[in-house]
Amino acid sequence: MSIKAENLTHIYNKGLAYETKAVDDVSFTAEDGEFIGIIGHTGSGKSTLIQHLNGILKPESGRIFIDDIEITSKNVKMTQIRKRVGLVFQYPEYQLFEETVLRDISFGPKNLGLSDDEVVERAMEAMRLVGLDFETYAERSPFELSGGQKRRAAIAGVIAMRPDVLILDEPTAGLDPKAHEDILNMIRSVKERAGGIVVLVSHNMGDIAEMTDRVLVMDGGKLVRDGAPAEIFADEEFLKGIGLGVPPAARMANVLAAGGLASDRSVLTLGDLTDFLANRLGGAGGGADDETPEVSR
Amino acid sequence: MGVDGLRYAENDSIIRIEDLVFAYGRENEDAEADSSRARTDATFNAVDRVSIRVERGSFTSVIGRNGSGKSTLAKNINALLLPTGGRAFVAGFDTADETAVWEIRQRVGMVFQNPDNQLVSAVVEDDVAFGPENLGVAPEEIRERIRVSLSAVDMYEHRKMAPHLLSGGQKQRVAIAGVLAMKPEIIIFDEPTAMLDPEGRAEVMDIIKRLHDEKITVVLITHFMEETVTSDRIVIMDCGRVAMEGTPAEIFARSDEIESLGLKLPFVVELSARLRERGVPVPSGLLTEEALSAHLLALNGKARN
Amino acid sequence: MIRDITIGQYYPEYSKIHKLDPRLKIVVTLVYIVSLFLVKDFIGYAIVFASIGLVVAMSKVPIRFILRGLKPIFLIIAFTFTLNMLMTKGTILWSWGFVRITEEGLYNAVFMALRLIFLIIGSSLLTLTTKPIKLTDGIESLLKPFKKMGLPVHELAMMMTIALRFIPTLLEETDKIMKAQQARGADFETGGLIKRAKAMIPLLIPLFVGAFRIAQDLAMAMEARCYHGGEGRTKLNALKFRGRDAAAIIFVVIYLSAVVAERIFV
Repeated sequence: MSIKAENLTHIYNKGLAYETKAVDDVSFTAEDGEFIGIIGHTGSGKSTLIQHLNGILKPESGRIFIDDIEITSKNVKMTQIRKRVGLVFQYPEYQLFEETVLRDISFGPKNLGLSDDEVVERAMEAMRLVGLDFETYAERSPFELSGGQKRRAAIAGVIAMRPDVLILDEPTAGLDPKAHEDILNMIRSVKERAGGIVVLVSHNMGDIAEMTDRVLVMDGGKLVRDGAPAEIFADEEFLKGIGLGVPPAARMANVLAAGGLASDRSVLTLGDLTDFLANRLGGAGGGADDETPEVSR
Repeated sequence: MGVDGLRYAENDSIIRIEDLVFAYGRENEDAEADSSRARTDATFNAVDRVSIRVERGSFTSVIGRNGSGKSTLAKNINALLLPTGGRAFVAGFDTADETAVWEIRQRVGMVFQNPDNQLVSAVVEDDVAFGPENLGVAPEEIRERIRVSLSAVDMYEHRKMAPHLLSGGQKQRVAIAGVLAMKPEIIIFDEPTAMLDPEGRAEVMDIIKRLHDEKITVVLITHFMEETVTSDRIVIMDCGRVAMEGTPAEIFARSDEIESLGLKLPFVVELSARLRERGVPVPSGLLTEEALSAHLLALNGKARN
Repeated sequence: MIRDITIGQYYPEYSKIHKLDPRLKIVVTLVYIVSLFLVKDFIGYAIVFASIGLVVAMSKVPIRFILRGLKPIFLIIAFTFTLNMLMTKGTILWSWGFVRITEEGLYNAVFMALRLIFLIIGSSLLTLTTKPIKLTDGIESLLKPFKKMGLPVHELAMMMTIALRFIPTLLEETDKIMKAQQARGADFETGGLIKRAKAMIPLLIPLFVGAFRIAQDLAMAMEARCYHGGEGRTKLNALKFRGRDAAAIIFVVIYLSAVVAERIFV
């Protein structure tokens, strides 16, 4: 399983006075098992980029390969792409439409032309993965669920297509802290159990640092950085310059470093920072040194 | 009797909520008799015997999980909903007094969560005019109010734009200007930043703090703990009741309780709590990054000497 | 892009025509449409052509842009043309089987097609030079006399204002839902009529649910801002009749007299 994007360019309003290059000559590859974060200011081209990865948008120029299938080619069948790449849009609960949760989740697998048995089996599996109890929720109307549950049901609708690549655009937007944490845990467990590649688009740098092992940075349609979170978040000045920031733990660590309390390894998460500070300042004297830091690999 | 005669002026609590109950579906009497499930639904108390006082000019944050009743409570403050039990006195009026409803809503502005769904007009300045027009303000006066309130949120140069071409943060600022143009004494913000990106969130919080500095009473309902740190008081709601209440320092000293209510501590507070667990001497009153880092650097200095 | 669609196609420009009172423009457009039906020969059309040509020139809207507006109704024009040409009896110019083209038919066809074209140019000029919101104000103001007869004038105007505001939002919403369902393998493009109609369900239901959510939110927001109908309400943009509006009236009177005189005396 791999994604390869070569020189992708997408232009909105081509030929008009206000034409804009939403994606500008973007190339990257992703391998099986990677958890990729995409960050960028609103309007930096993140959303446009990910919509190319499952063929919703066609590039002006450039190519995308999923394994060895060129999904940007004219004669590729859409179902071939859709069953490999699942895309969860922002506020996915707004796409729920069926009478029951089960039927809504079955919509995707059905469109793949699977047998009824297979469809139900996949829907059950997807509900299990997102943590919606089948007995309780399968026959409920999706419109009766709570905000967080609706969101899970909608995500299950994509997971049920068993994509090798799962892309989520701001999956926690608008949720309360508890539901936010639940969704992140759900994504982790889906990744663990289903494998493949997961792509998370988010404005929340803390989440990106906690979850991903590689970060793509978009600015003005261009892919401006591509690297491990430790590498990306090491350059706070650069990120600030393009309207982004670093995770709160990294920001704090930078403030402390400026005051003479510097860590010799990168600090990205609350766990990192706690370990580092407990080790340096703690009365008990740190066993923390022996612990593996959470993010750097 | 003149409306002023009803004004409540005993003390300086601009909002005084007494034992307020709000039950959804009360009007549905039939359902009550039906089944036990219908009955519990029919008498579901979204707000359950809540008493709160808000001082004039203060900044109060209300936090709580989804469904904890905080939005319902907010809508009881400007008479969008009327209490099914208890009382709400706002800016000197009893919200149950039907003749005072427009007086109340003029004094209590409200900004909602979804930036797309609260702007009425296809032109920014016309939208800001909407409130004053409803109040019957003279056109020249409306012009002046548009200028002042759009300037206050740094959106005056966008006054001729169509709202759908603005960013989320800009739309929320227009919504705030629309409220300001009614010259309110209180503004209730019902999760105004929930749907915004970090930049939009910062813009809106910046405006909210400015309004508070200008002596407008602010009630901020939010999920983001960081936004509550600078408020005068925090009210935490859970299951329709007030679970905790106090100054940020008082509230965040009780970090275990906050977490048990399904809420997340502000980053600085959570870090402090974790460091304490690991034996680092960190007091509980440090709420800002500056305060905590200064403390940690001081500790580091001592450790070296 | 879908968000760039402007309903009624307004062409932003600072011309004298743009600045006219919208009420006047609405009335003049109606007068103009009536005048087209008074014209009985091509000399009359010459007057119409000269007048509308002058107005178009003054409006600074490019001819190209106006003609583009004729495109969608080209079929209707062609249909009227053919129908008139073939269905009128008279002196036969040319025939092939049962198809007969008569002199009168050809004349009628050109005459009718011109009437349609002038009609469309005139009425699109109204929307091209008047912001939708001004148009709404104008209609509200013109309908005011009918309020006493029970016509909910203010409510109608408010409905139009809100519609104008939310059309782009709903278009965006449609675009989003369509993409999201496509990502789940929905196919809106292929298949027969019934299959396609069925394929719309996953689009229409979320769209309706979304529209209701917007309506609820908006109603709440309007109430919170003291909206209580048209009673006791002031208006920011009170319409004012100015000097240029009087000049326009004089122009229209001259035009109408010319058209009527031509009908009677020529």
